Parts: sequence; structure tokens; C-alpha cells
Amino acid sequence: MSYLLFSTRIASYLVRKTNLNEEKEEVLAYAIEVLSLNLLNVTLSLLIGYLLGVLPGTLVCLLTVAAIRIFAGGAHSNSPWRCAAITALVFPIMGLIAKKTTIFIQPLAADTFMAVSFLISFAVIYTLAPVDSPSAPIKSKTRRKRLKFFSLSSFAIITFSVALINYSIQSGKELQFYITFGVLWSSFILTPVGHKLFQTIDRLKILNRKE
Amino acid sequence: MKKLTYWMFSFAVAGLVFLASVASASACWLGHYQPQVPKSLQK
Repeated sequence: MSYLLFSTRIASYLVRKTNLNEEKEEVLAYAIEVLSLNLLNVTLSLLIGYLLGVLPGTLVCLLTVAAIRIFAGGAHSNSPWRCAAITALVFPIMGLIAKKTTIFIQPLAADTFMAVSFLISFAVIYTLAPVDSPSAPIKSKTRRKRLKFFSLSSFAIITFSVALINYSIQSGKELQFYITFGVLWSSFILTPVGHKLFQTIDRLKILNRKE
Repeated sequence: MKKLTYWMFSFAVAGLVFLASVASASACWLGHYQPQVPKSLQK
């Protein structure tokens, strides 16, 4: 297994200090890598969101995508640093587009856009989720079924929340748009087109370092 | 002091093992990069 240098170093230090076996070292390196990369991604994303003046929007997009992606999976980049760059940029940009869109869009057009987005996303999640990757294959059929069930449940809760915002929060259009963009991104990265996009980004000769 | 340090490291290890099992049970996490899931956690 190949993990980043700092993950393996911390893991081997912890294993030495607690007299654990080598198998546990791999598990620890994996946990350290998941934790540190996700923290880095979220921090960078929120920082850029703050600098662009769309911190709440970035946060809502992040939370929406997290709620679906944890169960539905999706396309991945093959470099942690390219992934950090994508994550750091995608969520603030989504927040920014959502914020700007709410300024000029007519209420009827906004509702139609959201309804169509949610319908398309439902169809995509229902048909494709969960989407695994070679690094984290879903081997068991039961697990696959469970992940699909939770993906759809998570999507249903989000849809219900967006409908509720319509009735409970005055001028909640902005919030609804942040959530809608998050849902659209989550379903887009499940599709073959989403995978193609990541493959194209991976072919770029930037941020190629593995360490 | 040595015992306390040992307990602290053991606590950190327990937390990380828990995190690894939660992470491997989900399809993926927020980032767009997926580290290789250890064989012992694949299901």
C-alpha cells in the first residue's frame, strides 16, 4: 500500500510506541491520511470561500456534498494535491455562482431550475449510486445495497429540507441554491462525464507529486 | 509519566482505528482523492 510519507512516519511511530503489529500500521496510516487530507481540503475550501465573501455558501455546499458523497461515492483524482486544489476551488466557486444567480433569477425560473436539478439528481443517484473506486472497492452486495439506501435517504432528507426552507425561511432562495448546487455536483461526479472530467484533470502535468 | 504517555498513544491509536473503520465503511469522504483502503478493512 502506498501512503504519503508523513502518514507512514506517524503510523510507524505510533506502532513502535504501543507495540502493535504491522497490519495495524497500515490501518493507522490510512486513518491519518483520510483525516489530514480531509482537514486540509475543508480548511482550504473555507479559506478561499471566506476570501471570496461566500463562506456560508461554501460551508453549505460542503455539507450537502458530504451528506451524499459519504454514501454515494463518486469520481476521484489520483493525486492528493490535485484533489486538494479541486476541492479548494470547486466549493467556493459553487457558492459564488449560487449567490450571483439568486440576485437576478426570477422566482419561477429559480423554482423550475431547482425542481429539474433535484429530479435529474434523483435519477442519477437512484441508477448509479454507490460508485466505488479501485482504491476502495465495494465487495459485498449487502454493503452496496446499504450504501444505496443511505444515499437515497440522505438525498430525501436534503430534498425535504429544501422544500421546508421555501415555507419557513424568508428570502431562503440563496440557501436553497447552495444546497441545489451541492446536490448537482454530488450527482455529476457519479456519472461517466464526471469521471471523464477527473481523468482529464489527472492528465494535466500539474501537482503530480505523490509526497 | 511513561505510563501516561503510553495511555495517550493508545488512546490516539484507538481513535484512529475507529476513524479507519468508519472511513472504510463509507463509500468515500469529502475530498476528491481516495487513499488505498487496507485489505483488512475491505468488505
